[in-house]
Amino acid sequence: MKAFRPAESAIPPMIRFLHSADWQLGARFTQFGGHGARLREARLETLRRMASEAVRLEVDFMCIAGDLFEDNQVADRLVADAFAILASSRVPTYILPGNHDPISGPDCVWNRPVARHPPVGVHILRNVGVTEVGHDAVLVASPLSQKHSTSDPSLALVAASAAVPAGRIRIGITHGSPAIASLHQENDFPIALDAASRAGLEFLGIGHWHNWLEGLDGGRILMPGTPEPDRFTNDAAGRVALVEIASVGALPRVTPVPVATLDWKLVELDLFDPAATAASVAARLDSLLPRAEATVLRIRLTGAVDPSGHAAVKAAMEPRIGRFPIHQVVDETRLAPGQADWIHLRSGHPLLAEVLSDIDRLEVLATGVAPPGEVPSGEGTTASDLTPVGARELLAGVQMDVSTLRPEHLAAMRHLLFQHLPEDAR
Amino acid sequence: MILHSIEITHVGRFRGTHRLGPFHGGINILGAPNESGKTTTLRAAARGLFDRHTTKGDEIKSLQPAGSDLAPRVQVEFGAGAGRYRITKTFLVGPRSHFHRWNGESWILEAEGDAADQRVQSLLRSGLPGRGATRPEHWGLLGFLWAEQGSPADWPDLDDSQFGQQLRSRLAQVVVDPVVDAVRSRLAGEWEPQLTLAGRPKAGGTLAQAEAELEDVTRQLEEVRRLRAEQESLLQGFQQVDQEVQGLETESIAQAQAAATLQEQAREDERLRARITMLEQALEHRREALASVHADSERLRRLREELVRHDAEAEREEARMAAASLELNQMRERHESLEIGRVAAETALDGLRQRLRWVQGGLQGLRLRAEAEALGNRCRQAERIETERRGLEAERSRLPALTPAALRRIEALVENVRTLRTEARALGITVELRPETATSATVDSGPEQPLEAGAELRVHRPRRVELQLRGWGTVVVQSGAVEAQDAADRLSAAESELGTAWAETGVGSLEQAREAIQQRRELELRIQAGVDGMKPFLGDFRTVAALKEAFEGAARRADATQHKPLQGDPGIARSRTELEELEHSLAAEIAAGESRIRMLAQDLRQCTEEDRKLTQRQRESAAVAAEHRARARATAAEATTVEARFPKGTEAARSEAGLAFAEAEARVLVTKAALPPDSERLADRSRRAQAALLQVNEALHERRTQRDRTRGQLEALGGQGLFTRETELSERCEEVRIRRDSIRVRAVSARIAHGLIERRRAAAIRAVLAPLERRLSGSFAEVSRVPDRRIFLDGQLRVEGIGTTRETAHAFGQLSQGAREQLLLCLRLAVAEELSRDEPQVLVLDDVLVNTDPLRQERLHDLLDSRKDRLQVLILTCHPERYRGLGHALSWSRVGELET
Repeated sequence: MKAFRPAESAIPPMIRFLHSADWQLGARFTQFGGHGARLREARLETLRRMASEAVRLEVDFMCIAGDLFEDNQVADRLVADAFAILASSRVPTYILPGNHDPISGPDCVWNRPVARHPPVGVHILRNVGVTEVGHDAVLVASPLSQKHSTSDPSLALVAASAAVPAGRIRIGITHGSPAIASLHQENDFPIALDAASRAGLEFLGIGHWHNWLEGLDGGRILMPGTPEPDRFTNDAAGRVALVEIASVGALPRVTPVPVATLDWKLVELDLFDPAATAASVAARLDSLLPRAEATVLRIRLTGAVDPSGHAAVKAAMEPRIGRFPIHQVVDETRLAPGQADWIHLRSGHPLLAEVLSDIDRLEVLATGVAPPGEVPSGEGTTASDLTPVGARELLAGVQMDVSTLRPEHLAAMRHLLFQHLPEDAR
Repeated sequence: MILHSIEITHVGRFRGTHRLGPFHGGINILGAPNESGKTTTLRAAARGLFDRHTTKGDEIKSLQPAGSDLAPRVQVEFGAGAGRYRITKTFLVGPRSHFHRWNGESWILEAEGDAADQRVQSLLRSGLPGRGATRPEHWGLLGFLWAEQGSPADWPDLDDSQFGQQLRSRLAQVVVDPVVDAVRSRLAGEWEPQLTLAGRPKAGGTLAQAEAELEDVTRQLEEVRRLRAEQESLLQGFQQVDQEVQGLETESIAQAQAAATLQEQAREDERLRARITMLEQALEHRREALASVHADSERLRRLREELVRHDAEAEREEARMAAASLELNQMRERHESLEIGRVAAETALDGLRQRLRWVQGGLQGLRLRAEAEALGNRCRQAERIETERRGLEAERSRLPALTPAALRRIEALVENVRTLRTEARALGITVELRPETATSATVDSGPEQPLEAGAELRVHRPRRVELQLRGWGTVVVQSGAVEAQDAADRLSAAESELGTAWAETGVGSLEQAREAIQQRRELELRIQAGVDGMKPFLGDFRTVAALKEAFEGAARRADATQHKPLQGDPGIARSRTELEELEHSLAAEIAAGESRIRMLAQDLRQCTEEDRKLTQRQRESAAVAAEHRARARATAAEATTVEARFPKGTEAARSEAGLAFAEAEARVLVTKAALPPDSERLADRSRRAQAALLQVNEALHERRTQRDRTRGQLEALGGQGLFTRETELSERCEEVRIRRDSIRVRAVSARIAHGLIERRRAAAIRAVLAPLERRLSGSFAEVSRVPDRRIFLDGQLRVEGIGTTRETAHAFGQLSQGAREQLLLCLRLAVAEELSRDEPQVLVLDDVLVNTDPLRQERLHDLLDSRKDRLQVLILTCHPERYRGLGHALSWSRVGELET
């Protein structure tokens, strides 16, 4: 494995490895309901990608700086699968317990039989200490044994590193939050921003946050982020770090290696101009279609729109969205008939116009706020005469009261009214 | 629509052709017995108007005469809108239909067959069923206005039929929007499969299924979470127990070391204590020997001391006995001396007492003399005042006996006389004489009176006066007035009474009387002052005589106690002050003498007591001295016995025993010094240390067992992958929840929107029902003669109730059968009136008032009669007598030929 070295490197590095963290295998995706399994499976696929990359890049080892698993109580099967993937690369892998999977009681994932006897090449860093990783390099580890602490886990690295004879490359590994003011919690394992130099380490690989963070302690501390994004805001995730250290005291060279399986895409649309939005959503979705199978898609519709506009956007969206296996449509639009619709309703179906004003009145009673796009006044329109008592009697029929009336009920009422309007009456 | 005539052929009991009509505007009455064909005729007319001519249902077949296959034929002539039409239909056999319009001169055929049927349907706004014969709900307005026999209280369903909508729209003038109905219906289709009327999930609906699925998943999820919580709790317990085990292990090692050390120390302590016990026994022997020597030596010393003491005591007692004898003699001499002093003191005291009594007698005499003198002074003063008082009383007695009341009477008499005199003077004769030269005159034979020239003589008499004037003669003046004489008489009587009063009181004028009264009052005041001034001198005595008697008594007592000189007294009269001083001096001397006598008596008693005591002491001392002498002899014998035990002397024996004791004591102290600190507690400490070690080990064992057990449980739970299970269940739960919420939100929203539409529709209907309700209420009030009740209709145009308010109204179903049929008749009448604003309407009443009493029936007749100008009413009845005079009577007439 040591045969491979990047051609552009003038001085062959003494050691190179892949650093990753926060795999959160077995993570929960409640908001995606039945798609959770697919999202979890994607994280294992990503683990396979890293193993493949490790082979391709001929690294000396892989290290995982905490939170390989989402929780200490993940199923043995998942642990076995993960270990099998890592072992299949034949690249030594060093796994550090993090705050999600701390090494704590007899029931923790690391103390169960499946982890007590891991496959060859898979090593669990159970205690603070030094591990030889070859090439005159050592791995100085500080694992976590609890979920929360105000102690800096990198402090343990100072003593451990001091025991390492001079002339060895010291690679630290631990899990926690860089103590950046306003970005970390006090009980979230704060790590000093000079933790690497303080402990005399060439490099300190840490994990905890899910976005890539580099440049700390003069470039000696790296937070690689989660290799597989788990939310729409992980815009700096989906990578592992290739770390190369040329010599004792040398600055590490860090290269991001993309490994993510799924893209998380959020499409937000304001239906102010339905025609333009319909064209826009079609174009946006068309651009995503080539990777539809590997995309987690969320479309969020907002704004006030008339029924026909809403229908147009839906019509543009629906034939495409079905091709995204994991998708969500968050429709927060408010149906607001336009002036022409109102005139039509007033003249053709005044009772429906009155019912719509009643729904607006219900919204006022439920939220205390008048909805935007108030019903335009005009002859033939009766303002809602719905009183709180009348509303209570009305809602009693569905075992509700105005305080339990939610925006989705009001939106649904408006949608249903227009949806059930006969075609020739729209 | 109104009817003009009905013509039937081969219908029911009618063979051949019969015509009913022409109908008139207003009230038409078809009165005929039961089963005479009234209802059959009307039903046939309805078939002719509303059924397809090709209909072959049982309803049509029932028109055929019984037992025949004749084709029923119906011809109805009617008015609709502005036109007059005729429809002729033949059913079952060779069915055909012809529709004619009257053009003012003749009937014009306008349509045949189905077209004819449809023209009538269009004109009457009636409907057709999918198949079979029509029912009243298809008959348009006539279906509503046609109250069939036997069903007076029925009411067509206005909600489920096209007719109902039409009727309502006609009545309420509400444009019933089919779009709204479509929306309403579709909304109902949304929520009804999901929700019950109470708003709960409906069994079999997808919402209920989702709820059930969610409940199942939630239950599983809660179970997993419970296990996780249990696991978390176990883990905390494990960590705690693990810490305790570590602590106990440390403590166990420390306890074992401490116990071993204490055990060794206790063993050494035990050995030393055994040696100390042995040495202390030897020491005790030495101590006893030493104590024995000390005791004998001490006893000998005490015996010697006791011998000396007894000798001394005997000598001292003998001396005391001698001293007592001497003292006794002295005491007896003193007693005699005291006795002599006491006799002398008593003698002197008697003399003092006698002199004191003399002094006190002198003082008493002086006091009596002073008292007599004081009484004498008072007596003299009293007598002086008494004398003055008596003088005043005598002076008062000399005053006229005139009281204030008598004075007031005299004043009244004087006033009366004065008044009568004035009156007599005014009424009587007054003669004034003024001679020019001096003369004289005689009045009424009285003395002659000289008259100076120019002087005036005035004479006044009541009635008559006689004057004799010198040189002139007699002049008699006389008056005839009687009043003057009466006044003169009353004056005379009054003057007489006044004179009597003057005589009685002893005064001559009113001034004298008043002065006398004043003097009497002053005298009485002075007399009273004298009486008051005497009271201080009288004191307790009532009279001056009593006072004087007391004075004389006191003077006698004072004389009786004249002071005599005492024997031995110098005989000088002493003053009271001197006597009082002497009295005090003697009293003090007597008190001193008495005190001295008491002291002497006390001393004598003491001497007697002392004598007794000294005699007793003398005897006792003699006895004690003898006893001490005897004890001294016994003690001397005992001391000789003790001294015989120590040939070398007691001091030598004490030195030997003390040396042996000191050696033994030193050995004990040396051994005790070798004991460890707190050695007396070492054994207990060692036992406690052993017990503590045992307890720690037991606790350690228990905690280890608990930790191992918890470890096993945790390992078992850890292998279950609870987080993974919880994850899967959470996601499934959320998925089902989202699905459930989606269904529920849609269903609930549909239900609310549906409710809002219903609410608006009901409000619109209620708004336009008001005129109908008013009309109906007015009609029914005319029938019932209860003016303050209202009839309330619901959204289905059904009678909801009757009362003053909708909330308190009596439900329609609770009314009597009669009231209900009357109410429905009124409702039909009101509806017909409402509809007749567009075009004339026919109201058919087929024996509908079977439960109505005659009075109300009469009122209904009034009601119908009052509407006859606006409505055509066709009444079918088997009681024509009840409607006689109400309208036009109808009857069938047979028609010869059928029109083709």
